[in-house]
Amino acid sequence: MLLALAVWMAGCVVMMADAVQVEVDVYSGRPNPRWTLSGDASAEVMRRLRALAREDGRAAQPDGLGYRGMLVHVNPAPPDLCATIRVAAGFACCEPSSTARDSGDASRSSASVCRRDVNRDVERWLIASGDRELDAALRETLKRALEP
Amino acid sequence: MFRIELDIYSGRPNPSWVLDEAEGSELVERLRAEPRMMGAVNDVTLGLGYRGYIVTALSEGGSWQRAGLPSQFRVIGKGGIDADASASWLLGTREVEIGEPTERIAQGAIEGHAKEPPPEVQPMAAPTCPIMQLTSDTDFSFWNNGSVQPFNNCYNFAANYRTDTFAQPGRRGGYTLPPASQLTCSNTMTGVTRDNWSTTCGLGPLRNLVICLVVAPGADFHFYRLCANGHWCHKPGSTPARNTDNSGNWITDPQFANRGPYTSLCGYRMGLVGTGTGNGFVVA
Repeated sequence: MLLALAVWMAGCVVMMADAVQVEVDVYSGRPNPRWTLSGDASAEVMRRLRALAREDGRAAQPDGLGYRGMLVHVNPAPPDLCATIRVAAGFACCEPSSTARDSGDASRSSASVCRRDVNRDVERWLIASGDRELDAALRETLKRALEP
Repeated sequence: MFRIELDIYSGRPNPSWVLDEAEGSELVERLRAEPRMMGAVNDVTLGLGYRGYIVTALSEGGSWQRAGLPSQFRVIGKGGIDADASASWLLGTREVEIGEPTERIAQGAIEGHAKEPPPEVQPMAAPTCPIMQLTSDTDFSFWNNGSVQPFNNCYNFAANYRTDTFAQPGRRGGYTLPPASQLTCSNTMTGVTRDNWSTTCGLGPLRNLVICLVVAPGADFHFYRLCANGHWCHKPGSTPARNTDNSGNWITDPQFANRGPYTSLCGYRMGLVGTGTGNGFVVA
C-alpha cells in the first residue's frame, strides 16, 4: 500500500514537473504560434502521448511549406519521451536530437522513435488546446489539414 | 497526361476527366506562358462555387516535370487575360457531361475573373547579375544544426546571414510588418526595400545575392535564394534548409515550384555582399 502510494506520488511529481508548450509548425517567415499548457493540460497531453502504441521503423512526416504538424516541447525532457515531439499525419515522433542536427542529419524522415496517433486524436487535441491563440484563418487552415 | 478535376461542388463529387497527350502539352505551354494562374491545391481562401481546376499529373517523367511543374496544383484562371482564356480552354476539353447550370456557373466565374484587376505586384523574370554570390545547392550544414536551425528562418537563409532572431523584413530598417491578416506582397516588399535590397544588380568586386519573395496572403511570407547550378534553395521556418519544393522537385524557377500556400510571387531583389560584410546581407 505504501509502495503503491509512493509510486503514484512519484508519477504525480514527474507529471507536475513537466512544463509543456505547444507550437503550430506552419510558418516560414513569421514565428509559429506557441502557447503554454496549464498543469492539468500538460499532464493530460503527456498521458495521451505515453498511451500511444510505439511504431517500429520510420514514419513519414510532413515538411516543406505550409502546415507541418504540432510540436510538443517538454521541459525537462522526460526519460521515456523526448524534449520535442512532432505530432503530425497520424504519428508522434521525436524531433531529431541536437546531436543529429549537429552532424547535418536534420532530416525528419529519419526519426526512428515514433508512436501511432490513431485518427490523429492527439493532434486534434493539441490544436483544440490553443483555440484562443489561433486566428480564424489559421483555424481554417488546420481544419482543412485534418480532413482525410 | 493530366487528370483535370473541375473544383465546383460542395456535396457531390467534382467532375473530372483526362487530357490526351496533345492537350497535356498545350496545358504545359499555357502554364509556362502564364504561371500566375497556378495556385495551391489547398488554398483556404476559396469558398463555395467555382474554385478552378485541380490538375494532377498521371505519370512521371513527362513534359510537366521537364518544365519544373509540381505534380499537382490548382488552375484558378486569375492573373491575366491569358489565365482566364486557359480556364475556358480547359473547360472545353472535358469529355464528361456537367450540365448546363454547372457550365454556366463555371464560365460565368471565369469571365468574372477576367474583369478583375491584375495582381498588385507584377512578377518579373528571375534576374541574372554579372557577378553572383552563389552558395552550395546541396551542402546546408551551416544551417541545419541544432544551434542554428531552430532560431533562423527563411529570411536569414535568403540573406545568408545568421541572427538567431528569426529575421523579419524591415526590422533592420526600422519598419514593422503589419499584422498577419493584412500581409500582402506590397507591404512585405516595403520591409525588404527598407532593408536596402535592390531591384538592380550591383557591380563588382561586390557580389550579388538574388532572392525571391513569395507570400501566403493574409498569413506569412517566404523567401528563396539562388544557389549554385541554377537551383533555388530555401529554409521553411525553423525546419532544415533544402533545395526541393513541396513536391520534392529541384527548384529551377520559383514561379513553377510547388509553394504550398505561398501562392503570390511578389518579385526578386538583389543584395550586395563582399567587402566588410562577408558573404551575407545584413538583416535583423
